[in-house]
Amino acid sequence: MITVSHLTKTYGKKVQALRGVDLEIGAGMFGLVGPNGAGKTTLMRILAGLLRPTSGKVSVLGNDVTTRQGKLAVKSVLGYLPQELGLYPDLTAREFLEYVALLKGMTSRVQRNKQVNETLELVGLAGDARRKMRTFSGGMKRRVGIAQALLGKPQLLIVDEPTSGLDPEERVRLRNLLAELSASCTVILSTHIVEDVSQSCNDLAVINLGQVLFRGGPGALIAQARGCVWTLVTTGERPGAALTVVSTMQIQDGVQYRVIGTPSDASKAVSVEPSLEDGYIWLMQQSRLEQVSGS
Amino acid sequence: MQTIRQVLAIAHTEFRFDFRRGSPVAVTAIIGLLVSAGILVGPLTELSIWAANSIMTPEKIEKLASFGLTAAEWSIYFRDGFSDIFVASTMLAWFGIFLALLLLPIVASASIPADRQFGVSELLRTTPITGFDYLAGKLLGMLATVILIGAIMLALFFAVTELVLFSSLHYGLSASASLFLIKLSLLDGLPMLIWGTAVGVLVGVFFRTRRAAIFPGMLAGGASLVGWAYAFRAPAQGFFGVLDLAYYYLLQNYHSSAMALESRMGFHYMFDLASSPSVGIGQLAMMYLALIAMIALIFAFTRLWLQWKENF
Repeated sequence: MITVSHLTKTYGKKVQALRGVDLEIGAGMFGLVGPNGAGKTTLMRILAGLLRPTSGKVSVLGNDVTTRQGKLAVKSVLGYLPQELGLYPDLTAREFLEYVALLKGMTSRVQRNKQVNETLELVGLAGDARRKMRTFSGGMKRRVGIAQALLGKPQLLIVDEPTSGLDPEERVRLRNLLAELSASCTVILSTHIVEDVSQSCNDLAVINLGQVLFRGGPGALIAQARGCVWTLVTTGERPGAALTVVSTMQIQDGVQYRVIGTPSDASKAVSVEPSLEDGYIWLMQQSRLEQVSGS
Repeated sequence: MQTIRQVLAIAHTEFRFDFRRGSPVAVTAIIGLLVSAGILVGPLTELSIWAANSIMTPEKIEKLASFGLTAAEWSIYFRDGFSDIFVASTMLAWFGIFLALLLLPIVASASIPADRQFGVSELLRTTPITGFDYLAGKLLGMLATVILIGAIMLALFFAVTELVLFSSLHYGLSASASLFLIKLSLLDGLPMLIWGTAVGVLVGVFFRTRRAAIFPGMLAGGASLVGWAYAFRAPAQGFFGVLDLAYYYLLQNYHSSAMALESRMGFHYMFDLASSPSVGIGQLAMMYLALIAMIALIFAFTRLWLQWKENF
């Protein structure tokens, strides 16, 4: 169980990355969604013990990550895949994993080799284990990143934008892998790609400008947008500025738009069942409107 | 036990990187070659003269008798006396080892920024190691590289020297000269290698890129050189100049059978420091204590910096 209460993080004196975040995350796969710069990575890094919060409390599996002992305790059960993954280009995948395994405290050579082999197999890199990582594609590097995070059988797996830069096949493969892993540990998936969350998470939070906008299941987020998602066909003119265009498609009769909001002429629009992405965009739209009315 | 294994794992990886990166290896090897060549050049130019002089003739034996020396003693003088030229040669050549103070901080300062540039630093910080373990591992790995190369260069020097001496004079370096060179490497060369490496690795903590660390590394190297020359200066100058306290101590305590014979003949020996101020083992111990204390202080400061700046 992870409990975050009144968490704030300020960089320097001006940049407020987190503004009083309260969250409770249980077992299974948890999605943290938000636009770039929302504060997701800051939150992930605080949970991983990489950053010190400005104020607030963070408890990860019963350990306070702001204390030295708590931080070390969390790190001993943590698997972390950072947004910008760095690897030693001159090492082979096996050498790198063995190194990380040792740092994670796996001192038994037999146990270490066994786990390294298992994780290499799991991420589909067993055949390339002896190749230097400088020769790896972006997807392969990402898989090495996942493999190192899985070493030591972590109880908490934090993956920050794991699918960025991956081709569709790799993305599906990675999502499935994370979903499988969530059966045995807590997985926190931070992403700005709603599809990743919709396919694998049964619990999520939407964060923007350092604040949690939504907390609940995907169904609840979808439900919020129900009645606000429309398709309308025009001969070319764009829908009004009050509507957020989700998708545009050229069809025989003109252009079909999928929009979120309230169309001025509802008779020409057809209400459709929202997707999770629609729910997310609706939420962002509401957030922007609140900001405008607030200022 | 687990912490030690983790520190050794970091050290082992650093050691491998240093060899792949090449610069710590190359710099240490170049310094070793310069010093070795400098020491060898003096004796080698004297080699043919010495070989000719060592041949005994009735006239020479008669002259020796006037000094009260036997032919057997004279041959000892030739064997050990030639080795003493190696010891005298270090007076000039040993200057080269000071390059370690200047250059090693520059190459060693890339070690920690390299992890940041590769982006591995963040990953390492999510494993259950502390900043202390990380710094200690990095330091040990780089030290292992530099010391190993230094040891190889020393072994190479002895191998070449023995090869040249045996092929030309049919005898090797005397035990006293060999011991002097080993002691010099251990008591003066090794501390310089350790200091230069340690300062370099620790200076790197403050920088994010290898390029950014170069100039501070140069400054640290310059400060080390000047600081060492001033703080550990020898109390007196010898024939060509005595370099530092450890060197002075060793030279002052150097004795060989050739020196004893020369003294009997009333000759003034080329590095006779008997009349100069004496340096005791206590002063030498103070020098090492000061070095250890300084390294520990810088280590503690960089550790606190990592804790404050990177929550590590």
